[in-house]
Amino acid sequence: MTTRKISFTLNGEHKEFDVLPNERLLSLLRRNGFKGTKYGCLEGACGTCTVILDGKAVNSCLVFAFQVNGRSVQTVESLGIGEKLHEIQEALVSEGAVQCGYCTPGIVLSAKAMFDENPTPTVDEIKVQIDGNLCRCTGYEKILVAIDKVSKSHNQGGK
Amino acid sequence: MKPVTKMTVVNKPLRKIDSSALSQGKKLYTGDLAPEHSLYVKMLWSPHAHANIKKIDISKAEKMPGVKLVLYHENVPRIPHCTAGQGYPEPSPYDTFMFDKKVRFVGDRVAAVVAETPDQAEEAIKAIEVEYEILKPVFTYDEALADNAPIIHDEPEAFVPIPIPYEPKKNIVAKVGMKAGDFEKGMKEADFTFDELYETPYAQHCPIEGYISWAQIDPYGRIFITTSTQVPFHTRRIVARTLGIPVQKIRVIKPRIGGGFGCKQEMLLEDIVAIAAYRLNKPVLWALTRDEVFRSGRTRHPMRLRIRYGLKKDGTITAIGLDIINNTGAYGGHGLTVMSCAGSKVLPLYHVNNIHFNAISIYTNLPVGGAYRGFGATQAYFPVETMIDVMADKIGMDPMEFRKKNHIRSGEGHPAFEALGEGKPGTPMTIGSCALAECIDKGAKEIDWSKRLPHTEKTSRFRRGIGMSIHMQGSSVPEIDMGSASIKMNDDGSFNLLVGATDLGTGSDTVLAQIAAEELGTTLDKFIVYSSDTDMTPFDVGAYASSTTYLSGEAVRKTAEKVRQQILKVGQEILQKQGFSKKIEELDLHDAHVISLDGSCKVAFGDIANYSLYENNQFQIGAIESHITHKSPPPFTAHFVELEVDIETGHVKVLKYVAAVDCGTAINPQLCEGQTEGGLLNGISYALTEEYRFDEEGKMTNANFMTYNIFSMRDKPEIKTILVPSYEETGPFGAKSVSEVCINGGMPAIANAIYNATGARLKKAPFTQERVWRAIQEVKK
Amino acid sequence: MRVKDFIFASKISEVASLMREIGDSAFLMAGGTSTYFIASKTSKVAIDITKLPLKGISRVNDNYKIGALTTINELQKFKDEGWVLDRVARIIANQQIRNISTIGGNLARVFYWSDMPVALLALGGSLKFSGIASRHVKIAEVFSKPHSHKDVFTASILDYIEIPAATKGMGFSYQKETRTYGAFSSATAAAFIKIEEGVISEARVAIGSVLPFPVRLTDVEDFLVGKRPECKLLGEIHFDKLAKMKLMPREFMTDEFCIHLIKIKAKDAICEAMKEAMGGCK
Repeated sequence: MTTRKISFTLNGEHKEFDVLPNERLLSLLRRNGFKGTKYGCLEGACGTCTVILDGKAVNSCLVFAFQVNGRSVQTVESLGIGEKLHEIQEALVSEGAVQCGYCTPGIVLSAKAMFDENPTPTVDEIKVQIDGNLCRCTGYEKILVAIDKVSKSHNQGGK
Repeated sequence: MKPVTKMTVVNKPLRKIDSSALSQGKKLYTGDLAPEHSLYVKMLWSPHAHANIKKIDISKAEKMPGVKLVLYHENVPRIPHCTAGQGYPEPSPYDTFMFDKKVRFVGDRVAAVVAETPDQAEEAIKAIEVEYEILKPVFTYDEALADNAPIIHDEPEAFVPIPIPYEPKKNIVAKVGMKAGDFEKGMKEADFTFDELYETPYAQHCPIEGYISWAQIDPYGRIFITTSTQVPFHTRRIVARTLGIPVQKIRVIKPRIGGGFGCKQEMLLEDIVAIAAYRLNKPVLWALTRDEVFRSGRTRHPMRLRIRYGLKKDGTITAIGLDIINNTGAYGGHGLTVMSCAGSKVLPLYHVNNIHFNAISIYTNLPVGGAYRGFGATQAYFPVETMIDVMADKIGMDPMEFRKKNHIRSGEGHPAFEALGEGKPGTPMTIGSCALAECIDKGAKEIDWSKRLPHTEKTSRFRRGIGMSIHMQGSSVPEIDMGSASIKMNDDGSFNLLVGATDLGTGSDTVLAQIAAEELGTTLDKFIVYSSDTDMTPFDVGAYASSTTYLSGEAVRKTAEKVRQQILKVGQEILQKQGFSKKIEELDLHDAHVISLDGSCKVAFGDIANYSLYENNQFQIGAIESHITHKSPPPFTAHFVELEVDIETGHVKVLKYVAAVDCGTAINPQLCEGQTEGGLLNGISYALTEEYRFDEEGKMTNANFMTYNIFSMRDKPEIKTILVPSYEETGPFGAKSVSEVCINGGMPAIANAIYNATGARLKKAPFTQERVWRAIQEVKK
Repeated sequence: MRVKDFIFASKISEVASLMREIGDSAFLMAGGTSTYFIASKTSKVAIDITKLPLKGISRVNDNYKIGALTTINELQKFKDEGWVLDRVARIIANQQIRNISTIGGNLARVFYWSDMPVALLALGGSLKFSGIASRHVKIAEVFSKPHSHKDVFTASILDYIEIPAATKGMGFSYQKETRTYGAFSSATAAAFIKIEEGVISEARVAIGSVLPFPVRLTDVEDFLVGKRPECKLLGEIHFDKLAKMKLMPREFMTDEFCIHLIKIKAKDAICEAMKEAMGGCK
């Protein structure tokens, strides 16, 4: 199988990649050093490989690499540069919602996509929109509290 | 020692030290760190439950593009070993080989291919030709124990390294038992007797990061293994044995781990990447797919439990009998110890003088049982805590009052502590701290127990019920497990803390640093923590048996105490030079200074470090200390659940779950809550949805997250955690364990709540809709 | 399913000719989420159709026109009086999949657990196809048999779906039983009820997941039409057609329980739809 060239916007920068037709976006990202996108189940059921594609959270293990040609992809590497965390990361960290941390980047991105669309989701809306990110450590309680905290901060004239 | 309320670092919800970097997706896990040009392993797994390999032809596979190596039983050392990560010598059979000429379950190893890409390895796997002689499989408890049952381990080499009974010819891995008082007499004295059978399913831990390891050869020819493990030191020892090389040849590094919950208390991938890297002199990576994690990874042992009780009308329990058959699957690594814990962590919870406990572990041709959070106690609590409700109901007593009347209290012992050890007698002990009574009261208030009505008063289709259960666990394996730490002071008053203890995502690196910081009168941010590297850190048994905070934590505290003395001495010397003559007893460590208690003088840690490193009487301020425990103090918890049952569909919706926990001093309350919440939700889905399903050939049919259903955020009920402080005198700053005890409640508390809603008793888990519906039909009859 | 090559299509006419050109190995791909479930021995040439102008939801009189490439998430988020597919969409799979999976894909690739066909069978309406055979086909017709479904989807490209708006006097209910929210459906039922002058004038009841392919329970529908919408009706429903159907063998459930469960879910759907058609519980 031969590789073909595709191009897309990755974290705001125009990039070109050689891809195999059968390759999934997760594999493309990881082999190019974007290791924040984690490998979990390769069946679209755990959400640990979540990235944002044209503003929507998707599982990069289900999306073929070629499908993002000409589109825009955002990974966790674009959020919280250096010591300054993104507000979602900050909330997750301060509420104790990061245990093993393996699911955290995916949750950060799911929440980011949600907030970009609706800055003040209700608890019920949060539960529906973060239902694709499995976590086995936290029981989700602190994750939900953290994301709700961000929502409430938006409500109080935050951002 | 200063009271908990005066502490400045311990008992504070401080940020987990690695959480910022983890939230940013930094390269911290095993897979993120593998060298770019690593070779990849794929395994040919057995498609048969029980078969002899008559012939393997690897010639085609070897010639496939990209293939570097094919490993199978004829070209690797044949050394019996035990994959379970336990203290040495293990109370467990050495019944496993790197590859064998026999396969014992669907998912057993047959041959491994190492190639340049995973796809190439996968293709080569398909080209391996194997001829099997199919043997009759053993799937059920009864099949395993039948006369003339097929023998699963008929190889002559299998043995147990300590003198305990092992009867592979009867498919028996181990037997554990104890007696106290006179069980028969106790049953005779009873006004009511009970005799019931319960059953629990196979379950998997489902860490979001599956099993993954890689190895490379260092320039001096040593094998460096980076792996997602809970037991780096045991892994080093087991790999050395399996490969037939000295421990010295191997370095095991554990980076950040994406969850374990017990399944990584095992040497599962490391021998293969090590031998492949060694033979090829190249880095070799192996990651299991989710499907492989389910089929070939470790599981929670399924058990069949017969429970008998004798009860007097006044609520006195006169006898308990617990007979367990434990299925360890094809290999017996944790077969004995999991049964010991099913007894020793459960039986002592209630006052009963006449005790009969008998457990037997058997081989079957099914997936392999391993360590799983709760470790046997979880299975045993299902019948025990359900029967407590049944008995209370029988005598018309509120089940909460019944528990309060009978549960163990501070200062009391239990014969099970002494009788049940790990392949040898256990350790006698009396309960130190115990805030169970307060846990029950606080939990009951939170769930509003007083509003609970009997099921007979419920008539609608959707019926609500409230149930409860109480639990204990342990903290470490006494007299066996050892943890150690070293601390050194740096120029600027910061410290390196090196521990063998293994943070698998629990936050133990943070907790251990909090303990050191408290002892040294400084802050958490002054610690550089490095853990679990067999070349660099001192020994620790690893993350299991709820030991890290209690055992490794005390090792850290002792180390810090030594360092504290050194700092005080240097501080005294400096103050002396400055004209302040103070006795050591007049000095203290506070706010990263040596201070005089009268407030007259102080000297900063940075100045002390510089003085000791560069100025006078130079030496490295630092220490190493070890710790073993002499008891295993139980944490206690009371769980309460409110749920709603649709009696037409059998659907159970958990509405609210309350856990009140006594873990001694919570070193980091936020992390203790996190442990509790994660554990209890796992317990809930274990009760309701999680179960391995097998086809007639013994092949798991639901090896993925779409059909093996763990809870998502949307499934989560309202969760309320209440930490109830107590002070365990033998633990670091009064701490006990917290991680395991919280998984035990789901099954019994939910079963009891379903009964309270509908009058239906569930004795087989998980409580699928059909099982619940059928149990309700029974009540209607 | 493996992909051996990919092509981006930007016009519907282009897709049709590409399909002819590539033949059997052509595979139309929008979200691509179904590829995980499709076992194919041969590798496919993916025709990426996400850039075709087949997106969006619009109301045309008493109908909604839904472009085939509209994602499940868009169905979930769309709000309008008379719009009911949000109830279906919000309990499909998980958010990441809802974000990328399309209604067209959901209808084109039907698995036994599929949700959308059950809902649309009950709602009624039609599918507009273009390509080799451009036509309007009633949903009931497309899903009448697995092979008729296959015929129409292999021969043509789905443009849009047209469903009725649930206006006054109409009720729709969708009932899905799962082990967890993310799990496949154990039993799915949907009902659409229209009430005129106090009697049921139109009824459609569909079930899925317990069967290899979703179906409408026409005998139940016939029974309902002409009756007054009362609770006691539910007790009088006989599921004669269902009793003769071959069930999908399901894990965790015996056939006996499967039948019981789907009957309960169907009754729940009918009950809820009646309530809604009456403007609340009576």
